[in-house]
Amino acid sequence: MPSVARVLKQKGLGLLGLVAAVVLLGVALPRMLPPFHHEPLALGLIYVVIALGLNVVNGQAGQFSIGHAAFAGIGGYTAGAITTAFGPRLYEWSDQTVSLSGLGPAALLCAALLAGGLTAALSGFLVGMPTLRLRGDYLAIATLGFGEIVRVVITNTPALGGALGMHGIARVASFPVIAIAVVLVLLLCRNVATSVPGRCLVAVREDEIAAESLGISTTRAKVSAMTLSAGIAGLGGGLLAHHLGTYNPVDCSWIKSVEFVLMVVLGGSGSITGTTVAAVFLGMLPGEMLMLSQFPLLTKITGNKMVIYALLLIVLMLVRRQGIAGKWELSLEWLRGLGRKLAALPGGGARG
Amino acid sequence: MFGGLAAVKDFDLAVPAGSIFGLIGPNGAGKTTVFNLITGANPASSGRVVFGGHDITTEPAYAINRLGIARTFQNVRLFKSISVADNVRTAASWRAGYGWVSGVFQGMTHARREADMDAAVMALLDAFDLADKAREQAQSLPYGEQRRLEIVRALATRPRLLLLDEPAAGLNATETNELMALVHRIRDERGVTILLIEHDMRLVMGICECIAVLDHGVKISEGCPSDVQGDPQVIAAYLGQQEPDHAPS
Amino acid sequence: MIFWLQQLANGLTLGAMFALIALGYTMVYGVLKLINFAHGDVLMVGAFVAMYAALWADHFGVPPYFVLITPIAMGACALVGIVIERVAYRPLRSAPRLAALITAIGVSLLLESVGQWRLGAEPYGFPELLANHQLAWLKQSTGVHLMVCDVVIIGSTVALLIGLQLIVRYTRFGKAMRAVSQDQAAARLMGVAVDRVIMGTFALGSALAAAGGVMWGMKYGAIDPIMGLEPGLKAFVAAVVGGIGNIPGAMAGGFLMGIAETLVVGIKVPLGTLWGSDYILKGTDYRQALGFLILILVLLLRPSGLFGRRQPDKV
Repeated sequence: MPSVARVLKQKGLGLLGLVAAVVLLGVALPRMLPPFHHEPLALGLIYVVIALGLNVVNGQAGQFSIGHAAFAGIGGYTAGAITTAFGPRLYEWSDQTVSLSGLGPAALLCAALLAGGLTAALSGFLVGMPTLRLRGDYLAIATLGFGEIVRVVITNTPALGGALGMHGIARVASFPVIAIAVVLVLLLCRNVATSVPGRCLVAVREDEIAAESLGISTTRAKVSAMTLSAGIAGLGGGLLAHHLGTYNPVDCSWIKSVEFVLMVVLGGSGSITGTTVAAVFLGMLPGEMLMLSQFPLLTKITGNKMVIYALLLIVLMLVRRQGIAGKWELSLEWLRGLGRKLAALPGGGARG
Repeated sequence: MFGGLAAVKDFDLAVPAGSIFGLIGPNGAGKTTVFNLITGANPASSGRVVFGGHDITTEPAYAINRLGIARTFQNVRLFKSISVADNVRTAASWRAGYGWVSGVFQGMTHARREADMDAAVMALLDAFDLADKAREQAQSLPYGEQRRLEIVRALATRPRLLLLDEPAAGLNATETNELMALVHRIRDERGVTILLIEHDMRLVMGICECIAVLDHGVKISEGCPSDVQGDPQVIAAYLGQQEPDHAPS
Repeated sequence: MIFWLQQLANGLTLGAMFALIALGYTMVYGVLKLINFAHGDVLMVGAFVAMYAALWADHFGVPPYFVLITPIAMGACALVGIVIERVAYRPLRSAPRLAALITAIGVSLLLESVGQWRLGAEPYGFPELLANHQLAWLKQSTGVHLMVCDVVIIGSTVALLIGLQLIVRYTRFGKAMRAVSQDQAAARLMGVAVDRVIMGTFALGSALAAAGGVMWGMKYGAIDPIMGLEPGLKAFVAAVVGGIGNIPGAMAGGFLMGIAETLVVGIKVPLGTLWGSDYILKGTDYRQALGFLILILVLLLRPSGLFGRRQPDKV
């Protein structure tokens, strides 16, 4: 039985760690990197949020969705609409991301992002309820269909900007904001994974019939997974909208969703660590490639990155289905084990 | 009904509480279907399933487990890629008493409930000699231990009735003896009623107190082991047509 | 009256193409229990092969007749189908279904993105494969507007469908295909060369898709690397509507989808009058979403389709 004191100490240390991570990610890292890398890094981190959302449903629960770009889109459009409608004078228009100028704007941004996430979560719930009793392939097509329906509806709605997309969204999702979001989402995913709901998801992934026989309502688990997953993606979409200042219905298509699927699969379905690394990598890649524009071959490749992504998906399935990390997670336990192994090396012994 | 074929029909069974009850019959007789009907894995086209006074015929499978019935499967259905301890922890999950909110925020309630659950899980593993393998992947266990793990996992849901589907399949003589002792232990120490499907006659005759025999979806005999053994209908079902004077005593 | 006849005619033409493509989906699903995501892109390949074959034939002074070009496209796509099966799907036969699904998505994306890379995103004009003109006599007698190509499309589709039914019912290969789709393991034990049957199924399905692609090009006059997405997905819905794995079902489903789409596209509801604007709800805008809407409805209400049967899982 853990004592209250011990738990408080653990939580206290955890909180310190979180703050440190936010500062590191949001303030220190951008200062250390030359400005050229800022855009790719920001994009990569935002994609981490969306990919982690997808990981909950594709990786942990084992339910295959290729419609998450649409959930991100729903979140992005909702959040963008809110800040545009309620805060036209709170933000300065700029062609670069700016910092928030005070508590008011910050609160509005939070509310907008939250609203975006909740709207996306609601759509995830509505989509999940009827479709999650469908088997793998069919669920994939149903989610693809949902994504396309969203894209078509947005394209045909002039109030949302139609085919040209929504523009003029306040570009206030700067590094600190993104960092806070990323750290919170990582914490959320990790907490879910190490607790009862997460275990239920894994059980559903591993063997649904066995899970049902152990008192787990697989429908409830799957719908919860889809709802949470969509909500996180929606949050990511909101960040994207407020970082780039625009959102286009094309970014809700299934092809964009496949990009996120690739991140989850490449990193290792179900692994939070793997997905994060893969998302940062793939998110930063196009931007970084631009830097190497003196090599025309590379520019050609980045212009047609979907070819590479498609090949990567096929090769991954043929050669290494578990992705980079498989189901491995970075954890304190593992780090301690590593520390012990390093200390046991001959060099360490001689010193001691 | 499976696409026009009635797997089980006119089946009437009453399992007394606290007993070790056997369900036998030739292959394809419909025994696993009976299990599926009880646990809600297959819907019943007619009839009722009553447990402890409740009609559970139309309950979904997970609800039936929460009402106190657990089962193992003919082909071991462990959660292969997670650890032994996690398999059992998953089974104990709904009894842990906390949900999404606690799981996400992980405050005091979470810490306390997790610690309790952990202790219970380790105690269970310890009681059944699986504690030293707690961290290993479930699929790396030898077959006999996998079967044992599946039973222990089912026990973690604290059932009043445990359905074992061919628990001795693939076990050698020593392992089967261990299994028989295990089943007795479960019933004696925890008061769990056991209903098992088996083909291994030594086990059935050895531990079952009552037996029912199923053939082509119909119950053809019921009673204590010695009676059933000598029933000519049962012998005919297993061996095909047989002259009466060749019946073994 | 004329209006409905016209809709029927248009719907049949569209439906014929859907039926051809739907057959490929349903046959592959029957033997492999896999939704071949890349099927729609095979039809795109067929259309482009036809275009280049026609240009090439022209170059050599051979008139690019429909009956010459179409078999070329069908043959090429049969090969493409075999290659895809061999390289991307066969190695994953024993893998979890999800892996094969991801690969299928990868192949589809690969075909589309390579197409866009090498051919650009702009549409290409599809060459004339037959003397296409309106059937004046029909217009005069019934008022229905029909082109020669429509008749050719419906006619050749019917011919191909009959041919397929003959193959499936009366040849050894057809029997083998049905055996494999019912129980692969048992079929293998009975001496059926399962791998060859699967290969042949892919070849057949892809050939039919190619025919569909050529007809699409003929009817709409333009092709582009992502043309396969829409008809592919609609044909998939058609296959599901008819009961996936069921060949006559796919045929029926295809024609049904064609007629349904034709009817919806003609819808123009002046919704704006409800709130005082001039907004007209046009069916054409939502054409792309229609297929998915039907799919989701079918999957929710009657997942086994019109001709399929519900099978509860055996534990």
